[in-house]
Amino acid sequence: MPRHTDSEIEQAAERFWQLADALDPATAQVERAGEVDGLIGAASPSLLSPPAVPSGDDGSIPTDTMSVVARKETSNGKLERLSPEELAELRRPATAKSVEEKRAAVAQATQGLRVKVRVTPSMYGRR
Amino acid sequence: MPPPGRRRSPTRGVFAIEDPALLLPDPIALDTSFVVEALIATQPLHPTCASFLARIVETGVSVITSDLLRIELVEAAFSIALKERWGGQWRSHRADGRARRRGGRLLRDALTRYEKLLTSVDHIPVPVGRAADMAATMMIDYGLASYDSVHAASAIMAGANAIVTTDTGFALIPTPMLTIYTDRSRLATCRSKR
Repeated sequence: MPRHTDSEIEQAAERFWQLADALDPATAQVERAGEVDGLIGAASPSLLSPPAVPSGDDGSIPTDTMSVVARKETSNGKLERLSPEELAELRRPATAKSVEEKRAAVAQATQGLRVKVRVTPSMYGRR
Repeated sequence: MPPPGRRRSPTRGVFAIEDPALLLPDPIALDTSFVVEALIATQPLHPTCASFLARIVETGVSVITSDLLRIELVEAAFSIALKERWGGQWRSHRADGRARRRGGRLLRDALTRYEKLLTSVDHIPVPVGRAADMAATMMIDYGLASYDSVHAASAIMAGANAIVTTDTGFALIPTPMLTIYTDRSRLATCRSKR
């Protein structure tokens, strides 16, 4: 059995939570759900029985679904997105094409600008 | 708070940009605070932010910014010139013209570097006016400061799942709306706000 350091385990946990946090329950596609059902069934057959509380067949929205939706909406009831057409209109493709060109551009952008004071957020209008 | 029955993530959707294994979503939004640190070599977080910027570029993900970022860079350039000349009294000398030449040079230098950076990525600049309504809503809903709201609204509207920032104020946004990528020293503060 391979052994892992605490650091490796912490990094693996970070990876897991990064993926978990990025998962959108409303749009996630579940693959091999049958395997999950099998696991759940083996663990507790009662989990696969119909829920005691109606879960949407009568037109109501399940409580847990409402929680997710509420957290993804603003108070005016919508989370506005730019349309694909608007995004296409705004998009400015990179003019540097090769990796070398891109590296050179980043180097030119980030190297050599030195000032005599420390720049704090209040200096560009932040609190 | 997470929905009932769902375990709360210990990371609270806040991740360290120093982590070499950090996944980069496409697109990703940049906040002014991160860009300032990346462009100005004398800033304390410059090595960290410049390295992460290089990683963004090499990975090839698209970058979303608000047009407000450019205005904030201009403000920063003039404030630097004032602070270099007047020290701690710089705010009271804003109308004094003697720092403007230096401010103008800094401004041209900073904007040239910013433009150079943008040549290396697919860039989606979101006009401030386009994000204004949603920014106002986010201020009311989550208590964000106005500039933070504009950047956050621009990021979300353009489809970014994450914003790179050194401003802990973005952590007021609920985790499902926007993941925060920041430097390691700000992880605890950001997570405590979520």
